[in-house]
Amino acid sequence: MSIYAMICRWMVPLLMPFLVISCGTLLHQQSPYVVLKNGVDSHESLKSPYPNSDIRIDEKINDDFLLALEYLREQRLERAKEILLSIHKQHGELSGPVVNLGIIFEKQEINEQAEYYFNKAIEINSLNVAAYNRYALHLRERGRFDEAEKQYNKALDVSNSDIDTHRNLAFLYELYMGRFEDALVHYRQYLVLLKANSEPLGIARGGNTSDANEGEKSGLKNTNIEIDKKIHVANNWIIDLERRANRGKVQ
Amino acid sequence: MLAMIRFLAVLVMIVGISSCAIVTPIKVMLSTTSVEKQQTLADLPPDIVPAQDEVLPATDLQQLRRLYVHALHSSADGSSSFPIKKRLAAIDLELAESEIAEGLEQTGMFDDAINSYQKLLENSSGDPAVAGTLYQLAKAYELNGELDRSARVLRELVTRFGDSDVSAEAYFRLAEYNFGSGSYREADRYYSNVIDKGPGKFYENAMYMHAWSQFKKTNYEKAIESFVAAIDGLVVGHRSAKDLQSIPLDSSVRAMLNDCLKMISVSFSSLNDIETLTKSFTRLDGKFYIADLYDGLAKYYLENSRYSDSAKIYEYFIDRFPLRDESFRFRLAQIQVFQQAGFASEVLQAKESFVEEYSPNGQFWSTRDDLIKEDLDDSLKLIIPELASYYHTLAQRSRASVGKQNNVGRKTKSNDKIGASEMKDSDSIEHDNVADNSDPQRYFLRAAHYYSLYISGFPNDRKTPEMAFLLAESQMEAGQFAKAIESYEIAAYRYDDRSFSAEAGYAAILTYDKLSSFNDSDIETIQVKKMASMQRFSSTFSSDKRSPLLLLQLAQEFSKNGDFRQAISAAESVVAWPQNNNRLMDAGLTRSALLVIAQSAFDGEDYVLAELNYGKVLDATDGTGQLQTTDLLDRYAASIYKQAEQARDEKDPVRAAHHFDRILVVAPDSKIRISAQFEAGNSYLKAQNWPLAIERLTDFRRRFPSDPMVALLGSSLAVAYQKVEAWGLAAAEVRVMSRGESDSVRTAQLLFLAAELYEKSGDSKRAIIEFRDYAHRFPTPVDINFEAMNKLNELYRNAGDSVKRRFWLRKIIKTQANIGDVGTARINYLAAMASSLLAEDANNTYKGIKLTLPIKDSLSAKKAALNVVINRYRDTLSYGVAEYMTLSSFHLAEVYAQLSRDLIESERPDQLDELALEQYELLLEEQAFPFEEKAIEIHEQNIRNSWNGVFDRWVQASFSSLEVLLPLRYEKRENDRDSVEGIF
Repeated sequence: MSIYAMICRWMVPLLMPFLVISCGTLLHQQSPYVVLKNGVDSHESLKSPYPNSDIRIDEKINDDFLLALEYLREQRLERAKEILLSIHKQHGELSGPVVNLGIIFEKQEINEQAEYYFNKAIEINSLNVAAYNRYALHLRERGRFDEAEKQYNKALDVSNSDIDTHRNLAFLYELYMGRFEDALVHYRQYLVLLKANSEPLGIARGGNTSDANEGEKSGLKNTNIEIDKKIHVANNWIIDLERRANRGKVQ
Repeated sequence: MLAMIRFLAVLVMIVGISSCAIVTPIKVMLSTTSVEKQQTLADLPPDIVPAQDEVLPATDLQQLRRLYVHALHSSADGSSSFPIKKRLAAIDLELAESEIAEGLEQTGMFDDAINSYQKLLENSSGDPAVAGTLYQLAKAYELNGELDRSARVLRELVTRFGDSDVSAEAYFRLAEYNFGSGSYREADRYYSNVIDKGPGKFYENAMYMHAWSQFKKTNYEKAIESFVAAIDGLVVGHRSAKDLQSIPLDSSVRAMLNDCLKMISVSFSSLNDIETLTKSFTRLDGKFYIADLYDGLAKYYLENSRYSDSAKIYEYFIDRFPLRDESFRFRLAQIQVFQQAGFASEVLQAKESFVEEYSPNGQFWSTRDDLIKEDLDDSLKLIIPELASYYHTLAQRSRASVGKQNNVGRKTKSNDKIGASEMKDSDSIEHDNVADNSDPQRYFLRAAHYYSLYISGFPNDRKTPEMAFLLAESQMEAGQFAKAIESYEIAAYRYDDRSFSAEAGYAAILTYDKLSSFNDSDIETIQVKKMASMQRFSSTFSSDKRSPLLLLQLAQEFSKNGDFRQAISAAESVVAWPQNNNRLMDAGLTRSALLVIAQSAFDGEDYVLAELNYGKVLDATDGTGQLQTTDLLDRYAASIYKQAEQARDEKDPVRAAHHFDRILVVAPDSKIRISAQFEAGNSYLKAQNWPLAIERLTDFRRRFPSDPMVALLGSSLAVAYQKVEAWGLAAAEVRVMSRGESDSVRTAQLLFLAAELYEKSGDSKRAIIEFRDYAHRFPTPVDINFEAMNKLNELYRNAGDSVKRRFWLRKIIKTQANIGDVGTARINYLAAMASSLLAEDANNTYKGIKLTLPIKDSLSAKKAALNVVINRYRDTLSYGVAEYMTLSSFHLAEVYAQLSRDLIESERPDQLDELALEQYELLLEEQAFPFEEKAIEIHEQNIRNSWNGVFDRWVQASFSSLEVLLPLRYEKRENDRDSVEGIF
């Protein structure tokens, strides 16, 4: 096992309590700043998860944000844009609406505006790993692979344990840049993180499993199945890539 | 009695000469005798000085005589009786004289005195006092009328006592006695004896009478000498006097002096020999009163109507003493003599001499004192103008007489201003003489000479301005134009008296023209000076009625010389002339001035000012001169046109267009209107005011269809039409241009542009016609030719005419193959494109072949089509164009994938049972698998382009295909593609 893998293995248990508390049910959204509709107490306002930060927003704003995401998924881009711009105007300190404005402009093929908002989001919140990832995706789709790589690496600088970032970066290296060895590193990290997520729930929650109800148990079970599937797929990816990498070495 | 009177007269003269108080002759005698009585101090009685204010009682001679008689009788001493007797004789003489004085004259009155003296003489033969007694006896005889006895006693006296005190008087009385009796020789001798005694009481008289004696003897030279000597005696002590008249003399002495002078003149006149006369005068040169002598003689001659002699005497003096003060006076006197005599030519000559000798600043004049100068000036101020006027008039008459008077001779003021009264009569004589063969120029120059003298001599005199003007006139008439100009300008501008200034100033300007006509070499300099003179005149005499015209001429000259600023200034002064405002000035003058302003402004590139003034002229033009008005209108329009050009040069097309447009409104009939409209259109083009540009240019084409500039409109209109996106109109213009173009390269360019514009306009048919025309006619330049072929490809594609499209695609490929190495990347690209399209055609054909039963046949056809497609795409790949390489790769991969799918989906034979069908399908899969593998292989090769940075649509398409063909490896998608849910 490489030193890097060992570090990751040691890091995962340390991170887990925090990840679980923050993310609730959607484990793939384990970034410390992901806001969930569920799992939030009945406070009238949301509290920023950032260290040393005191951002509080009205629930109405959060509702508007969720509505905008809904419109976005329904491809009602102008409506979504209107809401997001309104939020951005009221709360310029929020980066989430800004990332999504980038997505809207991207969909509208107004790339200059799209890039502006992606960068703006990162400027507002330099810890927003999702923003880095989304911007990297935007760059990758336009063949700007080196720039995409940089954004992924910035995301990893923020959170080296971000599972999506490792996976996305592995895709980039493998498919679009032909850098198989680099891809394998991140596939393997991704696999490590996946496997970390697939550990028993009690461990993940610090052994406090007695209070979990049946519904939760069922959800966690499904999640573990998904993770297992992912682990399986990831293993295959790694195997396939290692073979091709080796073939390339032989050639 | 006569003798007594003469005696008394002589006494009176003696008393007068000796500066004593006027006393009667008797008193003189008394005083004389009193001297005789006081021979020694011891003889004097005690001196009793009376008080100053005491009035002494008159002495009674009779009582006195009684006292002396008593004294004589009482005298015991014989020696003391002689003085008493002598005194008694004197008293007797005095008593007789008193009686004469009291009118008690009677015969033998002096007998007692005579007896007394005779007795005395008898008793005192050797006494020195006898001389006195003889004297008294002579006197008594003379008083008693016994002149001869008196003379005898006197002769005894001078014979015995020639050195006695009374001898001088005795000689004198002897001389008088002889002179009176006509014995001039004797008189001469006795007078000489007196003179020889030296100065004394009778000296001057003796001198005087001695001269007379000489004169009486007709010894005139001696007489002159003697009279001169007499004069010398009279004025002794006044040697430093300037002349005799200035010496303060008693009237009697003055009378004697004058008589001497007169007698000298008479004596001179009597010489009758000029040589002697001059010699005599020469001897007298040293006399300070020599001038008086000359003057006296001259006047004497004049009194005797000897005019020439009088004049000559003056002339002698002047020649001999040219620098003496009297010279100028004598010259004046000489002039008067000549005038009196009626000698006109001599008067003229004398006056000329006077002026030449005594003119200001000459040697004579300069060495005089102020008083003399003043006198001289007074005379010169009269004579110089007379001479000048004389010659001036003479010149004019002379010129008139020879019939040469021309326009040069303008009426001068000389005759009006200067009277020549003193030469009036003589002038007429002189003029008559010179009328036939005179030289007017010489006379004018002569007149000029005198005018110049006057001006230089009396620069501040009140008449000097007039003289200056007349000098200029004379010089001008004499043909000395340069000098005349100078003089005119001095007369015009130097003096405070402006009586002649304006006239002179104007004359100077006119004279410049004459100077120019006689001077070919320095015309420019003359012209410059003339302009300066005109300027000076107009500024100095701004109210002169000639000023505006001069200013106008000046302005015209400035304008002609290119000094537009000055020209405008001068012309503006004409317009602004006060009388002009009162409408008193000639309207034509104003109009001309405005024209000068306008033209100068135009030439000086002040086109705004030019326009303004041309406009004013046009407003003032009554329309009578149509041609002139048309010309003005053209100039007016030109000034606007120039403003437009300036704006255009300053890169201000909006302003330029505005000005050009103005011409169309304000001067639509001007010659320049055509150009203006053309330029207006072009300016609007530059100003990007496309609608107006189009309007002006199309209007131009309608109005002036035959104008050569119409041929130039096409390009402008083409641009404008393009700017307003009137593509069809633009294309039509370009097409026309193309047809009219002789240069093949240019023709090709225009044709291509026309085709493009037709395409833009949506007129595909016209576009195809033009592109096709181009593609056929202009194989070179090859790159453009390929573009044209490509355009045809696109147009036919859009028109759905695949046949014609394929024609041009094949032509692209074929042409590219033929041109070899000259092909550019673009040509390769187009060829690759064409090749890909033909490959696509083959691909479509390939795709259309379905694998139907019998599968062998259809598969064979399919494979044949496959080979065609593969070859076509390989052809496309051979161009090495990246875009078409990925495209070709993708399609090649898809061709294999398609075959794989077609095999799998091929028609199944009907008669197969389930097992056989399964076997059949396995067989198909085995058949299809290699094609799928081949497809994957080619796609993977294609996506590897991304590793090198190529990530075009065909690479991406290969990624998409691989997601399907090999999902385990390629179906890998990033998360959060559609949204990011985190709000922070």
